[in-house]
Amino acid sequence: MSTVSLSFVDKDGNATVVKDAAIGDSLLDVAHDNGIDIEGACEGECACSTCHVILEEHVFEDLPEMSEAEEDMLDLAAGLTDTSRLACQVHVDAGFEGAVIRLPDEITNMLD
Amino acid sequence: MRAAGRSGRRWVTSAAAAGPRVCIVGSGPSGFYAAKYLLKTHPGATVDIVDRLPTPFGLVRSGVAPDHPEVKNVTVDFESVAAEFASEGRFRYHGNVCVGEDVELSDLRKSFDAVLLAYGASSDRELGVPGEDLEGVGGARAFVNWYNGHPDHKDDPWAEALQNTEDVVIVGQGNVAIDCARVLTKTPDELRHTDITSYALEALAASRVRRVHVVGRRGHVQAAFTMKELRELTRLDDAALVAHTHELDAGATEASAEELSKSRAAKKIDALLRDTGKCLHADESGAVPQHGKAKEVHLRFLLSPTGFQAGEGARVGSTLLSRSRLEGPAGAQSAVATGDEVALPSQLVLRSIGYRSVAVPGLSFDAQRCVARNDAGRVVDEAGVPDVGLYVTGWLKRGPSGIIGTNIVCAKGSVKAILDDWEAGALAGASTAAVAWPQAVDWEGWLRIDAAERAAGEAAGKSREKLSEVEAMIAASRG
Ligand SMILES: Cc1cc2nc3c(=O)[nH]c(=O)nc-3n(C[C@H](O)[C@H](O)[C@H](O)COP(=O)(O)OP(=O)(O)OC[C@H]3O[C@@H](n4cnc5c(N)ncnc54)[C@H](O)[C@@H]3O)c2cc1C
Ligand code: FES
Repeated sequence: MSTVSLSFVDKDGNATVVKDAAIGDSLLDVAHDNGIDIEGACEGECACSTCHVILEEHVFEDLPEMSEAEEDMLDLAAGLTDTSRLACQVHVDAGFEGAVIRLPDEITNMLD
Repeated sequence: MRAAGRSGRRWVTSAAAAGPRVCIVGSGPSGFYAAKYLLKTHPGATVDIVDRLPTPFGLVRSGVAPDHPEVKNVTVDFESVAAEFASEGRFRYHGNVCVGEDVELSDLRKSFDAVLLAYGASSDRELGVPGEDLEGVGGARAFVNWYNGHPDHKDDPWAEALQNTEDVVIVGQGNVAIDCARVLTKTPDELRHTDITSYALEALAASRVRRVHVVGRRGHVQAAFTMKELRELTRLDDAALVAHTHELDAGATEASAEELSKSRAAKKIDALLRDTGKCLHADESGAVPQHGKAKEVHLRFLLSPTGFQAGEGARVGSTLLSRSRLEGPAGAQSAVATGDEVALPSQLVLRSIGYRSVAVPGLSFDAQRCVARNDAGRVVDEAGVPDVGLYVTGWLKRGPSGIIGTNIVCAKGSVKAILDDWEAGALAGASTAAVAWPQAVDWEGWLRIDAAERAAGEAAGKSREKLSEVEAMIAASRG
């Protein structure tokens, strides 16, 4: 009813399916509740960019616009893409049904 | 880094020497992240962290600005790692133990299978221009350490300097420079509830600083600060942000336009600095439009310091700068002197042009880059041959750049080197002699310091009142 099924895919292509992601929860909470390896160094306060995830274009497009603060923090994220978001700032909605959320490659260093 | 799988079984079953005994020197982000991944990846690994201060967390405690409490939340993660693994007997903390003074690296190496150096970059880079030794010219890092209660800088004479200063010049435009500019221009009310030390709050409240000039060699398109930090400067209660139009224009070369088109961050910075609603524009004479605020932060571009001149007595009175223009292709523009000279009044100068690591005896060190010689975290000699059992991470490994998150990938890489060497049997030679330092503050001791600081903070209406003397920390650690 108020949950969707989505999956996380790490940089090596390993997928973890989450069948019951609660609508309204942040993507970071969903990830942590399901043992997904996302850091979240600032505990979801939009101050670290270590929770960077990459969304599919159609999911990204349908989300409410991101705040100035999230955009500024994303500037520092490694491997930034056009559909990047911070997992602590994105809340699951119906549009996430079947969504695939990619964890970025960590090769590029932040602000190095 | 879920490496446990294939070889994990063997690690768990080989009882006595189940995993590597690792000593990590330094409890900043790189050291703590390394501890986390070592302990989580290898079920038999043990970690002993040694830090020269009784208190852990390195620059998260002594560097990160007091008005950025969210950034310090990373300690919540570090504390939960410590709690989880201390209870299993796999994590120990030894604060107040300085490697190179209280214990030699060579001794640590005898007691542990591997030593991972994560002691950061504590020394300041200097400009090397005349007048740098005048009174009132100092390092931004020392100023930051002072307001953050680092015991090394508690007694620095900043309070007196702030009483005698109207104009501050900050050389360098990285985020540390912007932190300093913000702390210098915030009102006491904007800082009162943070964990800034009370002595610094008092000194800042009594400060006579009116203008802070943050000076960079290159243009605004190449600036090292982030949009987040810049935006904060537009939202200060009683200070205005000022740019100088002719400097913005001088930096708008064709190559800069190309750089702008490729970087969304630079585009936003350019737009904000051009927006007269957010950032006042001074004209070529330096005249600033009316604004009604008590203080000003000037972002100055294309200026390179060439020296400092004395004002009253031996105290600095002005900063001499030479104007530059940008030359070269997009992405590689350099600042070339035009021959024009400028002098900025400054009774206080903060140098914020970077840091240097220093070598402890027994470490192979690249004196040019001021980092440990290493290959992906393994310390190597000049010929590239690994010094087996010795590793580095963090600023000592990569140099002093990057944010807290940068240390995640960095620490993971060094941990992989340690575990690969362990698995290959290369680390088997260490003796098992236990280490004990009578003066050491253990993790329980830190938790008592933490509780004491929070309680003192609560009484004062602040998030924390830091102890800034080693003796007081030790006393609090004993409860
Ligand atoms: C002023 C300032 C503000 C910053 N603000 C931010 C921010 O807002 N957000 C962000 O993401 N990043 C920020 N950074 C960057 C961030 O702090 C660094 O990336 C990070 O701290 C580097 O980690 P480290 O572990 O290598 O070094 P450090 O954090 O410096 O840790 C080194 C540790 O080693 C200990 N040590 C030193 N010598 C010895 C010795 N001989 N024996 C034993 N122990 C020793 C020190 O006491 C310290 O605890 C800031 C940096 C500075 C300088
Ligand atoms: S957890 Fe720090 S920005 Fe999301």
